[in-house]
Amino acid sequence: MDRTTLRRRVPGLGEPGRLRALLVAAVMLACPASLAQGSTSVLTGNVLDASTRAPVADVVVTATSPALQGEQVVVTDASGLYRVPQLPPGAYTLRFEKETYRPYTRTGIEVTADRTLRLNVELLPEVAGSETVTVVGTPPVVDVGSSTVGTAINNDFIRNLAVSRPNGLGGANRSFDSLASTAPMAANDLYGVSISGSQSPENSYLIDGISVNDPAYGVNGSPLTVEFIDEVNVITGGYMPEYGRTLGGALAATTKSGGNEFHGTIFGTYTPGGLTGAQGPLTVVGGTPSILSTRDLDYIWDIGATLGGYIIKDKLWFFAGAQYAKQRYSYRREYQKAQVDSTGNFITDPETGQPIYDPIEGGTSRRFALEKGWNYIGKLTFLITSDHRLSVSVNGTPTSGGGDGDYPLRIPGLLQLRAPPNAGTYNGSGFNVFNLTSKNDSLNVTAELNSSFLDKRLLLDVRVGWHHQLDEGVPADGSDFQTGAEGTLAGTPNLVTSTSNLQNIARLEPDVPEAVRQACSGPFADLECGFTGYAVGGAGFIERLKLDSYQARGVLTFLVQGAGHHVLKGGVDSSWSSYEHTKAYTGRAAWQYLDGNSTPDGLDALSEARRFGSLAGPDQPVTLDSITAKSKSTIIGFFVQDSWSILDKVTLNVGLRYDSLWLSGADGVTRMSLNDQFSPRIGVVWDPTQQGRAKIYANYGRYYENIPLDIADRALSTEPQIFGFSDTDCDPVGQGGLARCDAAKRLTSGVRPNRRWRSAAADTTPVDPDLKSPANDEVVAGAEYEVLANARLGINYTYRNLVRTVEDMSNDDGNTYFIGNPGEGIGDTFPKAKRTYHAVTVSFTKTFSDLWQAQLSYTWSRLTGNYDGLYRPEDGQLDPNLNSTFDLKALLLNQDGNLSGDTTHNIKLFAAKEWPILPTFSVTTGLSFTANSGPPINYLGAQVFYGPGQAYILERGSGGRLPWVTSLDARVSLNFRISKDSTVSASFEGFNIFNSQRPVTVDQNYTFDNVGPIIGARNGSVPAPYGEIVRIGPNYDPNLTFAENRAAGNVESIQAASGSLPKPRFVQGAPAQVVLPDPFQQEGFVNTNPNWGKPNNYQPVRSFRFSLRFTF
Amino acid sequence: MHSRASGLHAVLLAAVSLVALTGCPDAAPAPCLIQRPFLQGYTIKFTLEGTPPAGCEDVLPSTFADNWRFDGFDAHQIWVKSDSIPYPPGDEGGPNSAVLGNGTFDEVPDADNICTIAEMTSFGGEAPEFPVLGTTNITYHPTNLRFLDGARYQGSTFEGTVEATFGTCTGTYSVQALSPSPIGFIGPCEDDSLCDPFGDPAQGILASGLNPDYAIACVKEEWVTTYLTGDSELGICFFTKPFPGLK
Repeated sequence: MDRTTLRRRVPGLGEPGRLRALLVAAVMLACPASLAQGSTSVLTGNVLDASTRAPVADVVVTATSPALQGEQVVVTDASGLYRVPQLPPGAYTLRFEKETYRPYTRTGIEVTADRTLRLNVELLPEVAGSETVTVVGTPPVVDVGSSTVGTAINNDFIRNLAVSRPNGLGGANRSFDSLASTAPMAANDLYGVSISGSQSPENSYLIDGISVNDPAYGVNGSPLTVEFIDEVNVITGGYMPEYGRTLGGALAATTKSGGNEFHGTIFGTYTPGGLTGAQGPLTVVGGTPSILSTRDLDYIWDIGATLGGYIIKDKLWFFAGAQYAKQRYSYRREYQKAQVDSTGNFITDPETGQPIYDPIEGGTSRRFALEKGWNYIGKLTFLITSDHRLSVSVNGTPTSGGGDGDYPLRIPGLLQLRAPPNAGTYNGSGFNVFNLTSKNDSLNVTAELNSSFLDKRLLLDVRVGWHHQLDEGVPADGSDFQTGAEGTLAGTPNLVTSTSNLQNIARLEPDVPEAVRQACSGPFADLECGFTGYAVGGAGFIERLKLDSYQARGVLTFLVQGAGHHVLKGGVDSSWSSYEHTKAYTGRAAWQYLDGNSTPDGLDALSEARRFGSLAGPDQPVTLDSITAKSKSTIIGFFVQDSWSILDKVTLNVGLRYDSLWLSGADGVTRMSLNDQFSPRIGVVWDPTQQGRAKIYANYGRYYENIPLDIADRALSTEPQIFGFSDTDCDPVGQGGLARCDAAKRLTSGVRPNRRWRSAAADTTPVDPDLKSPANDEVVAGAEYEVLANARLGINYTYRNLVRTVEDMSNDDGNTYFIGNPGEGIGDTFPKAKRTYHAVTVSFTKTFSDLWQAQLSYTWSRLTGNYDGLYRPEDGQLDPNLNSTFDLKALLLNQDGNLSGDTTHNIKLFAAKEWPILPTFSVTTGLSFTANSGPPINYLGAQVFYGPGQAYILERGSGGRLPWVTSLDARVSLNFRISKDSTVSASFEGFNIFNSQRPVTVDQNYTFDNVGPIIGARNGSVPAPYGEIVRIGPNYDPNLTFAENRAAGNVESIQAASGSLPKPRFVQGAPAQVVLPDPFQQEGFVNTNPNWGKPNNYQPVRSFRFSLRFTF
Repeated sequence: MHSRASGLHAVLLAAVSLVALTGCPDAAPAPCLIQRPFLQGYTIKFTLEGTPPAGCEDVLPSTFADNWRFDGFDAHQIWVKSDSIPYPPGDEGGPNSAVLGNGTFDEVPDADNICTIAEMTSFGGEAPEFPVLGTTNITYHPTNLRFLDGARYQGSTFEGTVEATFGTCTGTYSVQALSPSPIGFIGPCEDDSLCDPFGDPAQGILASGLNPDYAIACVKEEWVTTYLTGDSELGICFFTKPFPGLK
């Protein structure tokens, strides 16, 4: 729109005319932010006459920017308000013009994604000439219109600081979600970044406004590289109804766009494994250490290029990019041999009673685990007319691993876990068990239309998108799911050897070095080189996941006046998701060797640990080569909201969102229908200075979970399995083994309709018909103040409380299960799920200006309850809304307390500065320091039905806390300016420079024996005789009670009870035996685990990354 | 202006249509479920309807008990076996075994949460040491077995009619059953404490496994002490009310 020819009458916005304006020095900036799911921002404000303070109508306001196609022009209304909406992020210039006023221009207005910035202007009447007044001072930075809590991470932060650690969440391609851990109240967890006490699968992950959550598990399904990203918004709380369907935070990434000039990069990074630091010691006592395992980084590198520009200037822009990344880890086995005397007995350590092992010279083997992949993007932005803009974007992350003699980095059953497997993962099995190739592909297609009507008083934003994933772990020889094809990897079953009888590893593992074969050939080789529970044969479980999410959204925005100004928004958005899951066991069954005490007839047997199939009739098995289940979910939501600037003094944000979610299993029948998701939101923001320099805010909201499809796949669909007990000489791994072992099925029942076979998991899990939706309530409150130019100091309080969750439960101690709400409905005899988060954050943020930037924060927090979230930290089980936490009431005993994500103190310091050395050369230095106190440690034992790690012997957190974890990272860049617009930078980043090796997890199994909890006890309050160290004598009679044995002299007291559980140690050459309750709350004893409290994982080791980048 | 307004109207109409077309479906009821054999089957109370035929007064008990184990198979097929009738020598099971009965289960419950097996094939054989009668041939022919189902009950109780033949005497019995098996899974009781559905995890007392909605007590009536426990001081946890046996 040409401002010199503006003639059209705009209702409510005053008479147009030839426009000129002047500016007075004082500028006010207020920013009522409304965070939309998308990349649309708004510049708004009031124009006053500087002399009379009266509002000025009909001022022509023109916005221009390198990020904007063409220009956007609006006029002020009768109240002097202007509003320029639907702006992409970038640096803007606003020009104000009206007759009788001096023109005014304001430059350098930084607009970030999904923000509304208010720039109030005072125009000087024209007294002489028409000289334009241009203000170049820094605008205020306090967002005085929004109570949203979050951090915007832009390219300055990414380029100047060491981010996206090489051996961390970012992986080889340096994914955008790895940046989220820099925000206050955010911390790395096992599957991503947890925000405000919630877990990473509970977050919302967005790229250009569409959800890229994994539809089955909730984690980030599209780890797109930061090279394609313009900005990442990490929203930790206080957001408006436009954001919904998350109990965590939101990570919203905006991809780069083209422009009226061509720009791009060519880049490469390399992280050598040889420069990484050494990991802290992992000492494991006991077990059968015939194999010592280590994992080392070999290399990580990536190369790529981006290019953005125009096809038609101001009309059609493009952005494209490609990146190839690769990472490889080395997994080494060191074979050891136990010392055995001439009579065939172990020679043991007198202190520990454990066998003594010596390395076998030449007994080392090594394999690699490899992953590689592409990231790509293509984006077009088309300005149809000045009122209509269309953008279309395609991006993807096809990734693969394994093959050609290498392991994959992601394995079936754990395809969502982006961290490389621990050292021991591959070393309890023959190579073919992990001779797999993996895929983790994602594809996102987005189309967005931004339209304005009624001279930008009415806006329409419409977005459609498709998120697709393909994840799989399948045999590396290409045999795919042909589990009946003998001689192929798919046709080779998996077998786990006896877990109690030692067997010579040289006989089990065909790939042992010759030196090991020679050393393990004597008459006592089963002892000297013995291994239990070794997996041989094929992979066992293989799977393929196809995930799709189709999304559509429309939002109307309308500006009205009434006691101030109202920005009314209403919208509808929907998502249709599907999850097609194909599963199989290689060779059609996974076998395990069972000792006689685990079989119905008391004889040793080979049994199917897993086998897909069903029974057509009594003892009439039907084996399935594989099973495929397709489950679906639909969610439709509506919202209305009003951002009311009351008399332009206080902003009130109110809104209501409603969502309805339903899920169906493989039979296509809706099994869960949740129609109760009303989400009110209300917030208020007040600027006490009325200058945009400070704010005080508060916000309340309720948020609901978008339940991932894993529950529909596992519980609302059947997963039919069959098993029986075969004679042990049938050899299932050999040729024709399945048929031979089926023929050797024994008669094991005289009372059931089936005599040889049994079925399992044949039924769906019923759902409470009164099921309610999982939800959080949240309150945020705080204040900010601008202490320096471009810098603000803030304090924030966040409170989150879990209202309820959905979980599977059993009212009858594991006989039958149902899905419901703990504490409500059918689950009303269960305690409610509890998770409460309090946090106070003090922060200082300075954006990059005057050649430096800084971001400092300290967060004190408390996370308590009995429910960690969608995955169990104790064992990493990721089955959202289906993990074992609430399965039995007995599992919930002693579970109230400080949760696994409770780290009281979190410190994050980031600072960077550019040092100009020459006109064509500068150096940029960035320093990062993070420190957090450790999470609580627990005393865990085995639960009689669920096994190890499930019973809390004492209350949560009774075992103290892990130590503080600190990391100092640095980045140095040498910047050579080649021409006006092109630069070559060579960078060096160091992560954890001093190789601080603090444990991040420890073994929390106090005992692997079945044990009963001591209700309500903590260390210091353990009642006697619990905690007493005893020695069980050789005449101990299992047919008598412990008390009776003690009375008979079969129990020797070593150390009296002291009110606390003794730290496990060796007593008289064996692990200490401690008096504890048995599962029936009778006095008993357990064998303690000498590894309790010992580290089993450390913080990432020191690493260095070298980068070269050409930017033009 | 006119074309813009038309465009707006079209968008609003599309949004309303989307809402109207998709709707909000209710969740379907849980499929019909039966309690599997690992819960040791169902303990069943048999009550004779009417008077026994002439000559059968000392053969047909007025009430007795047995324990049956059901299992589910493809195509909603249900097979059943009585604990009192073992597989005879040489019978390795399978669909042709005479000691097994077969019927078809409903797919989904009706409005009252009832899933029905309309009829099962007759099954039976020699029952050694059957209480009172000693070794005797027994044949069962169940009809109209109605299971209380849905997410809350999951087929843990049923009622129905069974034509029971002892030797040459046949009587029609109404039955009421309970799972997990009070005799096989929970065990004989001296008092009501063993029947507690909740147990006390803090005291290490396991849940009985019985549904907490059922009116259950330690029953020591003759049909229990004679046919199940063999001890007048030992009963089983069983219903104190007729089907569906709710409190």
